[in-house]
Amino acid sequence: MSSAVSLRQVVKHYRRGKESVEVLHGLNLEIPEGEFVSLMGPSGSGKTTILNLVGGLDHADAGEIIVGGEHLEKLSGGQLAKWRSHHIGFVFQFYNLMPMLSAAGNVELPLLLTNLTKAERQRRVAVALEIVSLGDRAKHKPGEMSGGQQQRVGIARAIVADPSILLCDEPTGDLDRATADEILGLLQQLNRQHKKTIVMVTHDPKAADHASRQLEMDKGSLVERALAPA
Amino acid sequence: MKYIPLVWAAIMRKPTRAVLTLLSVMVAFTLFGLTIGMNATFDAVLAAAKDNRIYTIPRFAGGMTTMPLAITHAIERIPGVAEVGYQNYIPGYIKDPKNRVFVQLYGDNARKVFTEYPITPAQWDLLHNERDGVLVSQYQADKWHLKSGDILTVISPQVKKADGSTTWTFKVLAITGDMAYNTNGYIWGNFDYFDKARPLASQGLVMNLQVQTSDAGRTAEIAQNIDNSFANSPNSTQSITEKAAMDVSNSGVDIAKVDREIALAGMFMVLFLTANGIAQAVRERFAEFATLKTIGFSDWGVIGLVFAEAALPCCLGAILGVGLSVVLSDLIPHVMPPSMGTPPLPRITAMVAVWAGLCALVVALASSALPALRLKQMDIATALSGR
Repeated sequence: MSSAVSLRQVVKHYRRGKESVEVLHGLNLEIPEGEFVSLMGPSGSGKTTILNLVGGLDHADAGEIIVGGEHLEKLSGGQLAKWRSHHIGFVFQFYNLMPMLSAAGNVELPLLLTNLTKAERQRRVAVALEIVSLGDRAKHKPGEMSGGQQQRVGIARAIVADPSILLCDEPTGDLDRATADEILGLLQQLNRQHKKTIVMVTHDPKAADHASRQLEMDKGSLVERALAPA
Repeated sequence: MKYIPLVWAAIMRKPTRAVLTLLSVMVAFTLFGLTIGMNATFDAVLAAAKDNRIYTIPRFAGGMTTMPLAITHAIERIPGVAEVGYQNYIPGYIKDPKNRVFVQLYGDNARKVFTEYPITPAQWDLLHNERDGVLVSQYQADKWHLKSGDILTVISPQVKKADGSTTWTFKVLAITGDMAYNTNGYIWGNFDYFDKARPLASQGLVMNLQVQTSDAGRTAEIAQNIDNSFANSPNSTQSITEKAAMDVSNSGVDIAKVDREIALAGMFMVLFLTANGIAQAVRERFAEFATLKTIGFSDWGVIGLVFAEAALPCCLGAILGVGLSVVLSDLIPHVMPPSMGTPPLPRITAMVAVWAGLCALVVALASSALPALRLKQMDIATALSGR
């Protein structure tokens, strides 16, 4: 199976005031296509940094980042934006929905960047909302929905353009256990039925258990975690 | 087009702020339409002014200062002068002092000097043959409910007849067309009739002359020659070409410049208002713009949305404001007191509308420039983290 994500000898520094802090020290990571990977680790360990690098939102100071066969360090800002719109879906902890748009309007956003007709955009939005079981809430605004429903809208927005990779940053961090389990079940369904490669950052070991592979950040390096017994 | 719902939703996120901004922009563009429309009128008046006509008045004119009619013969002999018309007038009222009216009384050669007026040869002939007759333009006829054959009685306390009477009676000969830029219309009679009715001491005196030149290119020079000819005379003159007289930049206060400055002040008001609104909107929604960039919107895509957010109220306000200025300029004659007459009206031409559109776009560009720069420099990862 070919790699969906490949990080080779990746180094990343951040500046905090006058101090330079190295959060990734020559990190290597291979994620095959169709895998559901969870990334755990303490705050500040670099989990979100990995997600940002894989999503082309940030640049590495050294090393190679190859996602879907594309060397991200060779792409310009504009090329990265276009690449993201085609290949990556993002799911955020706090949903990051546009409060003034309806659920359908939010889900349609990535499709505005395509040349699809309005009718085709609406059809795809309807399909995405059906997948997350929100077909009947298309006209509702985020403020009129529960946290779980808002996260489902966020997931529908992430999958509507049919990207191959979903990057989820603490997708259940703002939800109660039952709702979190529903969202994690939905992500599992997207991974198994729709063959999406998923990289999920989480603090929650129970959330991590939904992944097919668990990784833990430790002092800028990754270590494999043994899967919990099913 | 597909982005319009997104832009509209962003604007209407704060409906009160959006409506107040739109109203402010609309008011500023109403002012813009009226002032720049006024300048369009000045420009049109200047363009319509004859370039071979000179107005000559007594140099030390004041009140109803006059000069001898004989001066016209001396001016006719100046090289380049083709025709010399002359005029006096009766300022007065009809029945009630608030019904102010001016009857202008011209010499017989007025038809050769005012060739652009919509008066037919038959109407000129009528005026020539009926010495106490007047030609009344449509505007004045409508104002005083006059028609051909009516008697027009004007009371003028300032201009007495030889018998001491202040009542001047005229027969309306014809209703003639109005001149586009003579917004108050006109009533024209015969100087000869007026002059003979005056006391002997006041006869043979005129208030101004209209000199037509044979060479439009030398009109200014001829005007100077007229004044030079009478420089040492007790009847020294002051001559001005019609072009110069109609050019508002030659007046004591350059009204066109004042108009432009008022319009500019309005545009600055809109700029500050819009710039503040857009800066605030971008500040409040920085994380949302970061999300859009994460989804795949390019820097220019996001900047385009911000520009559209600034441009939509500016352009909508410009359309509504200029439209309102058209309505207001049409209303002005209806709300002015009859005694004041009608001032020159703003003309909201296509060019005024084009200027308004351009100003709206420039204001939108300028007001979204700094927020756009901030969005371009945005570090998405940092913005998403809320740091």
